Amino acid sequence: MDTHTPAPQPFDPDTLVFESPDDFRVHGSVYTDEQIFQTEMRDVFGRCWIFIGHESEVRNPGDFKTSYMGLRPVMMSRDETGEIHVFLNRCRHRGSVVCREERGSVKRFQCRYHGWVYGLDGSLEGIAKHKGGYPDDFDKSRFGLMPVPRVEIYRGLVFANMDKDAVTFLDYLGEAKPFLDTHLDRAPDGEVEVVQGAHRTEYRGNWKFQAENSTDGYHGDTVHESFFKLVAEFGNKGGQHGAYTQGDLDEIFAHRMTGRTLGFDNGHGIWESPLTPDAADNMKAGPFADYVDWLEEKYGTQRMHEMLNSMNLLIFPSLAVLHGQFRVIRPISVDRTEVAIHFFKLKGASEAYNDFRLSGYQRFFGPASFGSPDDVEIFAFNQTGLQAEEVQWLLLSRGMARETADNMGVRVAESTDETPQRSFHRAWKAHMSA
Amino acid sequence: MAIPEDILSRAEAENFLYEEARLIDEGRHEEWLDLFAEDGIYWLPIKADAAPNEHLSLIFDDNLRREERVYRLSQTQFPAQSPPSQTQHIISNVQVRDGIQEDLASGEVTVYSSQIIYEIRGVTADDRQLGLGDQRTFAGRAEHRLRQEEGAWKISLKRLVLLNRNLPIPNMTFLM
Repeated sequence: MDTHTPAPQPFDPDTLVFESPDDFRVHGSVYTDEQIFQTEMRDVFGRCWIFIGHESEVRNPGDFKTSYMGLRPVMMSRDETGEIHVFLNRCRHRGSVVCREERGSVKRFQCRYHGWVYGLDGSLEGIAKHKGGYPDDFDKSRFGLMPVPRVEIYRGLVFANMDKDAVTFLDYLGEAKPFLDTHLDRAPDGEVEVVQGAHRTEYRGNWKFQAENSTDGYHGDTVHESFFKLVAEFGNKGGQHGAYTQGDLDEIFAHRMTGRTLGFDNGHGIWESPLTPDAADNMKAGPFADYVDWLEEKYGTQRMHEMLNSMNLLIFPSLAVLHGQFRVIRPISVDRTEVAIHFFKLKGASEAYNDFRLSGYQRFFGPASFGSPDDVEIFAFNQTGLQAEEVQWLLLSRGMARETADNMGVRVAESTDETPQRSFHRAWKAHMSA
Repeated sequence: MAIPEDILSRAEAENFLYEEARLIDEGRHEEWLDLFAEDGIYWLPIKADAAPNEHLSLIFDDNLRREERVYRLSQTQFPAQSPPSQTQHIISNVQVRDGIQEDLASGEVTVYSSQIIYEIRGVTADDRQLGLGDQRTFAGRAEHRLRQEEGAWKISLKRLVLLNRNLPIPNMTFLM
């Protein structure tokens, strides 16, 4: 933002992310340095499109939800006319947060400190004990809740950007757009609905570990070996999309080598893994055949198979869309991060199918599940290990030799390659250098 | 309908809960599984009064999911339980009630209790590393619906409503 005075920069981003044709390294201080963290909060979270929430979370006029853009507390509201607003959650008087609840429904917002009142559209409606304290012609229109300069809603997803000069959200999303669309196109009505409640976790590590991990196809065989053993033992009745699969551990691991990773400009990335070849047939023979039949009828056989793939999308810097969820990464400090996972239903799909998806989701995701707690555990390993500063670099070069770029500049490599992570750090460097 | 105390006295209910807690705290996972009825549900909601398909739950385990959970704990190694958690359950405020729900199956009794669960990552943890040095406390109100099957009380529902169910919980991969 143009109101910022740039802080002195004792570090040089160009030296922190090193790239040559066969080498890619990130310096350890990128995850541990307080100054770098503060700069990220200003230059990355202050210039990128940040996910605020989904329209379905503020369905009715008066509904609100609080969120964060980096460290900035923000709030999203829906006004009487149905319009969605995103403001900084900060009273214009003396700086208190105006909204203390995570979500709810109100007629107006009142600061709890001195009682200033704001409308659902953020306008300053009333100043407590105005008369005599301030001039009668005090210009209240200048002191509404400060709107986040840019807000865009794409298919129900609300994104905001502190940079008034930012490119549009779709320009920012670029070639990653079809992958976000795929997640939403799985809904017969073309839109999703966030289920209430979130799976929230917190870890003692830098926020970028979760961002990198969300599209990492390399860690699964070690970190999630326990889960794959479980799948080999019990079968995958609760598995992805309702496609029953059964294989031994070797077959599962071999299948995990299929698929691909993609890296996009602006830091977005994809990890994609197809279902096993017989999975769609199994699904057609199962209780949710109507859903897969609908997919095939609407999109054709090949596209139907693609739409059933496991596909993790990271939208730089802090939103991952995967397995029916919006995963929101919230940096708290250089070595502390919160992750909130919001599960969404596919509107237009049967209740039984959505229940089944929820059950499959809760098998792998959430604090007591069989998957995501193991990832979270690793992030604290990372942060502890990085205190050995004499080893300066983290290596992110896997698969560089077999990475190709298509004619749109999208980088593509194998499923265990660090292609999305490299794209992430290229974008990170660009923002930190700007 | 019989008075609940005629079916299950408070002392008997306390013994049942203490035994369940002992099995968990001693890591006797398979024996804990046997406490549940075939159709039993092990449920830690996030919103106390919401249907489990309208709101995320911390845990919503049917028989198969519970078996998977115990298999993972007993037969596999994974980061979130390496080193493993140790727990200590403290149980109090035990009340025996007949069902409050109209759908309560005949012959079931409901036992309410207050539970405090302390958890640490075991004696082998290097507690100087990030994420390992904390003793965590979970407090909540438990509802056990119990039914007699072949002379033994079985759990048809264990529903534990934690005070911190809305807060970030990094790791609840042990039995509660």
